[in-house]
Amino acid sequence: MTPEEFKALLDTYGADLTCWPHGRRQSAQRLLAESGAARDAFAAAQEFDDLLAVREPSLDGAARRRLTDAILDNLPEDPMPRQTRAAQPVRQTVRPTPRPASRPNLGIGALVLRPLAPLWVGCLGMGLAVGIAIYAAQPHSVAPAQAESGLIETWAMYGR
Amino acid sequence: MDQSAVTPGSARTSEDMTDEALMLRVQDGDKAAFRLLVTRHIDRIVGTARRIVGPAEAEDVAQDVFLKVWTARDQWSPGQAAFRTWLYRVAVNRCIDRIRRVRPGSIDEVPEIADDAPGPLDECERREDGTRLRAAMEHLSEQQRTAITLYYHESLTAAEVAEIMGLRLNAVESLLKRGRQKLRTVLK
Repeated sequence: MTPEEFKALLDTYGADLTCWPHGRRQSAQRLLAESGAARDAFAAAQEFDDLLAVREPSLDGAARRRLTDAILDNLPEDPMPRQTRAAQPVRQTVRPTPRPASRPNLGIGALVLRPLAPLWVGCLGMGLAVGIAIYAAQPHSVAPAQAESGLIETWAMYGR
Repeated sequence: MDQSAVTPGSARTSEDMTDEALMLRVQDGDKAAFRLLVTRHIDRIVGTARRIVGPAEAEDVAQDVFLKVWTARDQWSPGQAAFRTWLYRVAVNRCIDRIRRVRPGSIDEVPEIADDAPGPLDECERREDGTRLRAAMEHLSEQQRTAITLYYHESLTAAEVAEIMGLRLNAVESLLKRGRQKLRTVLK
């Protein structure tokens, strides 16, 4: 530790080495052992510390009582002491029920059916048409008059 | 004076209870415990206020401090800060409020130290030292004065001063150093 560092630490922390950062105390003590100038600076700092630490005169007994009474007399009334507060029923605050966050629908309907609905309708129509065509292509014993009476048969006729 | 505030629980309130134990009772509205805390700390708070705001207003400030402690008692938490640290924080805030309200602050208004006064070291053992030191401290900035008072007068550590003033440790170290250097110059 240099004498300049030592003086700077004296100015910062005063001459009570127990108040100095732990890592600097031993260096300071070594310097004090070696340097007369450091010892002089240390002695002056101790005297200045004593001046700074001069106590303000204590209040005398009567003044302390008067001041304490004045403080106690002027305490604001506690509208609701803590114990009473604890005993009070908790007012129920009605809060709007939060809307549940929309959960991703991972069912088969969402993933397969709904997005492909037009395709499914198309397939259904095609299936019906193919079925009718097959039916119409096969020989059957239904009378032409009966066949003509129904729509399916009408389509079958067109298919011939 | 409200002596009726001595509740059955406070019958056990005694001088040897710690500040923190008393403060827990105060939080439950125990005025007897509060009286004991006030009695225990009033001298130091008045002394601190004398150094920071001056003797004329020190007792008013001390009253403000303890009224604030009472009204804000629920804000103290035993796990967060020692009662003494919290009390000094309240005191420093009230002192600074008072300084800023009453004296917008001009260094020119600060009383001069008499040139023919004896050296500070010779006066150490005399009662007038306090008066002279107070006059010298008015030459410091509000923050330097607060840091010097808490560190030397109240024997708090630099870390405690930093916590009370809400500053970093290195900022407090700087305040202590500059404040001490200034005082040495003024008192020379």
